[in-house]
Amino acid sequence: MDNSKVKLTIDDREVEVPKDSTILEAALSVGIDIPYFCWHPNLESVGACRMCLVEVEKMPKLVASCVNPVAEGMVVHTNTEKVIKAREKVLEFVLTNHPLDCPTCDKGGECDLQDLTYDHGPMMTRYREDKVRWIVDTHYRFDDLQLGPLIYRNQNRCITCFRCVRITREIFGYSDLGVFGRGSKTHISAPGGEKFLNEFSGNTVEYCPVGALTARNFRYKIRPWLCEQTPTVCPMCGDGCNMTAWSHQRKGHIRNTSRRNDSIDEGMLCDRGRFGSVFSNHPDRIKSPMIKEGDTFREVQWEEALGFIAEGIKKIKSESGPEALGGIASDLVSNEEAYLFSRLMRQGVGTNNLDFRGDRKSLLGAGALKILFEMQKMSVPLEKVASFDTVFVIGTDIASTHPIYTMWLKRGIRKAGLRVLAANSRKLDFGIYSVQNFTYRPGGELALLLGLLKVIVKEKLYSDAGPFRGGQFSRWANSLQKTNYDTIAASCGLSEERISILARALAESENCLFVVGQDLWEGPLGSSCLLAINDLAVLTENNGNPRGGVNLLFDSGNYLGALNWGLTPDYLPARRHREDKVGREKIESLWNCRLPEAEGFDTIKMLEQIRKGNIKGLYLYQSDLLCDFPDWEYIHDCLSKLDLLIVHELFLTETAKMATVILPATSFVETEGTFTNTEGRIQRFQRGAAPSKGVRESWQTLSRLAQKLGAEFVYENPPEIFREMVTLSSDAAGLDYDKLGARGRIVALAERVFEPALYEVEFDSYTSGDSDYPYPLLTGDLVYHLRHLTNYNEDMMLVAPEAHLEISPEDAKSLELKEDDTVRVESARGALEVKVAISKKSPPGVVFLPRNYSDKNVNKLRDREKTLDYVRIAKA
Amino acid sequence: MADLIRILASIFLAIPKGLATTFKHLFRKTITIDYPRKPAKFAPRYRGLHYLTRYPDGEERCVACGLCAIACPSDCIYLEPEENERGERVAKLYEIDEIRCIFCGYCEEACPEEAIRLGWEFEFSQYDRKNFVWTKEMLLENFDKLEKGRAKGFIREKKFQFRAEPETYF
Amino acid sequence: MNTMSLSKESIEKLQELKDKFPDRRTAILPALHVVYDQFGYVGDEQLKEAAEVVELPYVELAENASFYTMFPKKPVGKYFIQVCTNLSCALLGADSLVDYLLEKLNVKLGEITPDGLFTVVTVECLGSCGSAPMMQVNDEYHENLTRERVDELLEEFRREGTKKGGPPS
Repeated sequence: MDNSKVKLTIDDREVEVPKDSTILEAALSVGIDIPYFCWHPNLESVGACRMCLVEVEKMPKLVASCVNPVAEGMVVHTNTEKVIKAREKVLEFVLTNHPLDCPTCDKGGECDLQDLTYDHGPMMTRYREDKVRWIVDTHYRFDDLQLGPLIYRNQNRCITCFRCVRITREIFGYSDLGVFGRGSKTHISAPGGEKFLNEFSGNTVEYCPVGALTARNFRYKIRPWLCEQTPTVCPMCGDGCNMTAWSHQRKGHIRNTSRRNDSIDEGMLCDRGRFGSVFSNHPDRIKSPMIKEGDTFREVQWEEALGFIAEGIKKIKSESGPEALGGIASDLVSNEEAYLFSRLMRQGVGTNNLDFRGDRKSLLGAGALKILFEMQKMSVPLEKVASFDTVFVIGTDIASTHPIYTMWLKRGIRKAGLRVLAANSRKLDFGIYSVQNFTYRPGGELALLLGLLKVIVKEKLYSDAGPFRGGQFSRWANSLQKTNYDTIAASCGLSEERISILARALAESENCLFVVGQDLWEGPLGSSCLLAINDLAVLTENNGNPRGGVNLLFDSGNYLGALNWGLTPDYLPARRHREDKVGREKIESLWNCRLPEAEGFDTIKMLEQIRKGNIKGLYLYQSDLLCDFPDWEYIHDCLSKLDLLIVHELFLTETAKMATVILPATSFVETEGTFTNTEGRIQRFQRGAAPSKGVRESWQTLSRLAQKLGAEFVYENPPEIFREMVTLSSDAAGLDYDKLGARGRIVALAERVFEPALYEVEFDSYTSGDSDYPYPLLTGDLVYHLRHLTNYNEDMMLVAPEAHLEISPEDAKSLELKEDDTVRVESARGALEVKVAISKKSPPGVVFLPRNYSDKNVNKLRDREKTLDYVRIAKA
Repeated sequence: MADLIRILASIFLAIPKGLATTFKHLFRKTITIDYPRKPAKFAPRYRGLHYLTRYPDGEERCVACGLCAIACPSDCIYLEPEENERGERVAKLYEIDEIRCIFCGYCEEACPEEAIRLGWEFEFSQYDRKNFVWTKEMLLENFDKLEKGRAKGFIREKKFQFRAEPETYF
Repeated sequence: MNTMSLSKESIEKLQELKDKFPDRRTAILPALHVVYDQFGYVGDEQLKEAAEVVELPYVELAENASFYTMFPKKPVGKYFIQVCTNLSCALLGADSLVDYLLEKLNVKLGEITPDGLFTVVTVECLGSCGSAPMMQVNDEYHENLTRERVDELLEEFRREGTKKGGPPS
């Protein structure tokens, strides 16, 4: 790109800007205000609104500053009489057909047209004729059309700036919104009467400069000026987009808008974050502590409940020792709460039985986590993703798990010719942007990786640098050749030819980024996959910043934070291993206690111990095990065996209904703290809404409970916890809570060249389903559904009200199924009746069911002992 | 002696003089009113108890825009909008805390629909402070029962409408 | 032949258009013409089909089709009568001419007559102001209209239309 600069004068001020910028950008860069409607920093300029007219000397007419590039020596005036008059006239034109129904418009108070008319507009209109009115329902004279389930359109108010269409099409690559008609009949609509719904549809509402597009969740709710705005961070996926939470005194947290952070989201939010994270004001929230008596719960005072818990814990401890207790938190809690929970379990209770992962059949052990921590150091910040020339996404449907990540990939495709190669058991769909899909069979990921390594070694697609010589390397290279392509092809379902194409593309790319989905590294073959990817990255010379990198995706809001701050049995806070003496002593001296020495159990082992009767008490902190764990019968059995089940939750979930004691928790808008996103960036969120009366903030509850158990926890507020915990970490030490700033801080991103692991890949050959249960069942998160939380969100329940079985068009044809037919899905474990959704994402022979629907829980079909579940489908 | 006469004269003359003033006023029109027995009369723009107006067909005018609430200097109005079956914006809650209100009339001035008005009613004393919160139903009742007749001629009756888009064939 | 789907010739033409231009979007208008030529109108179904052939988003074809009012979006009669109602024609009685046509054919604007022969719409200036009032029937101009001339024309079309058959050119 040309980096030369151009000097020009704007309003008697010398301005120096890059050569390819426009007059508007130049003016904004030095703080000169030019009004505009249609221009947006993320979009190409179109010059549709004519609001940004300025006077340029030696040009005969006023020019639209958003489309005119700067030139050397240009003299621009933005405040002459001519310009002021022109703005007034433009606004008069814009307002001719605008209904001026601000009193009933939801945008009122945050409307660009209102503001600019107030600043620049005519005081009177000279237009006396009738205005054009779009009526959607003539019977009721109803002006608003529901474009999609989440978005309303009022065409009368539209000023045809096309921002919504351009955002949808340019940035997100979807073509489900268009501009139709012409002249005064121009209108925004979804083509062919379809629904306007994609995972980013909410952005059109935010960037509509008028009230033409309004969101369902804010429709006729409250005036924006009555709301308090608080900076917060979205917990709904690992990207950690910045949001502004809007809360009202009586109604609580009601909506979110974006808070531009150029390192993460560039002012965009996905619908799951924008709409789905509004659940704190739900009426079903638990509002006071409860103790189970018989079949019902009795509401009690805090001290009584905490006393009851402390008694119970002490009793179990004295009878069976601290190993008979365990704690499972969630990966959506803040860093401070994670640290506090870890401290509570280790110091207060005295056990290492601690985990936060409750939705997997197998978990990474201490060794695998060490590899993970090392690999995580090769990660690349989000803002740099678009600058790669090849991105290899493996093992995740990234559009559902990390929507904003795809925004950066799409930008790369649009602007820099980025090539996205996707290997997954479901297809990736980027709308109009192209993705090369390499669809492998479920469970065939390791076979594919081995195949790739094999091709690269065989065809010598790596450089002859140091690590790739010597006996060890050749021994490893030989070990790869033991498995032949037929076995690999049988396992992963991709032919040798396809694997070679992929391998060559990876090896020949200038710089390549490996994006590794959580389903892959946390799957049954997780640690092997990690090592294989490591070798692949090293072989293709893509290791180490800045030339290449490996991004491990962490799917939930604070998975990485929970790992970092001690929610695994083997790692103490700040990634100190249990057996690492230095770290241990440091923590012991800070906490002023002896840490438990016995080996702890992770979730799966804990459940085994519960089953055996060795663990009698379990503390579930915002963890809905009954809904999440991939074997419903088993978990139900385990939980009902417990003597003491403490559930610290936001909602009265199915798990909570089994509890002995329930404590109310606070959500991310009701407390403050920090989250760690998938890049390792620590970001601060603030308290936006007061918890309902009588609910204590979670950190207060945890501290108070620890005090009751005899541990000295004295914290004034979450920042104090943060200050304490960073002193333990070598990476995060020196981070100042008050100076985390608007962008947050990335920690632990050392620039390092990674050593090849030379891992000898071995895998079990593929076990296909039998004739009884032919279809492998995949599960995962939808864009519109996350955990039990979105069950309590109206918008998300409107878009995705129940689990739909996603099958490929080919299978639908052979089974004679149509969209929305009810089918009976049966596994060896159980059966569910669900509706069918025909999806091009599913390859033939593979079916997908979203998890975490409490009524139609896919976990009832799953068996914890099988790595892959098979089902059969019959028409109900 | 003469002094004595003058003094006496002033005493005896002063009485009829004073009484003359009394009698003069006796036949004038009274300024005070016999309040509890006779109805009070007000200036047309007197600002008393609030009411919410209706259209002649009985429909509520209030669109719950919230301008009255933001115009109110004593912050005594709270309202929440909702959507009615025709997709229009109407008030779900409309509460005025009359004990907090300073009867400045800004709400009435801010209202784009001429929905909230201050009427002539001033007899609304209560025994409990809680009862001073007038809800939407009570405010509409004020209009129906008290102010409907009196307010005639002060309120625009027609609904604002604008032209519908002519049918397009292609 | 299924009248609702694209014919082989149309598909061939569209495929030719696909890679004819440096920017594929240039092919939108020619593609619309291909569809229009086959069906006499451009409906949603046809556009979706064409979009798949030229590998462009369907929405872009639909947008462009909606911009040009000269492309009817739903089926029209065999004789598509477009009456100019701009200034010159209006001054010379175009409006009453439209009323006369509608009355005579007993339809509303944009409707097809029951026999499938006629559809009347009003259009903006067709550039024949010197010979106003005028109307365009399919691709032909008929100028200096009077009621008698309209009667004559309608009679002629009706004769031709019932005689021949097949889609309009």
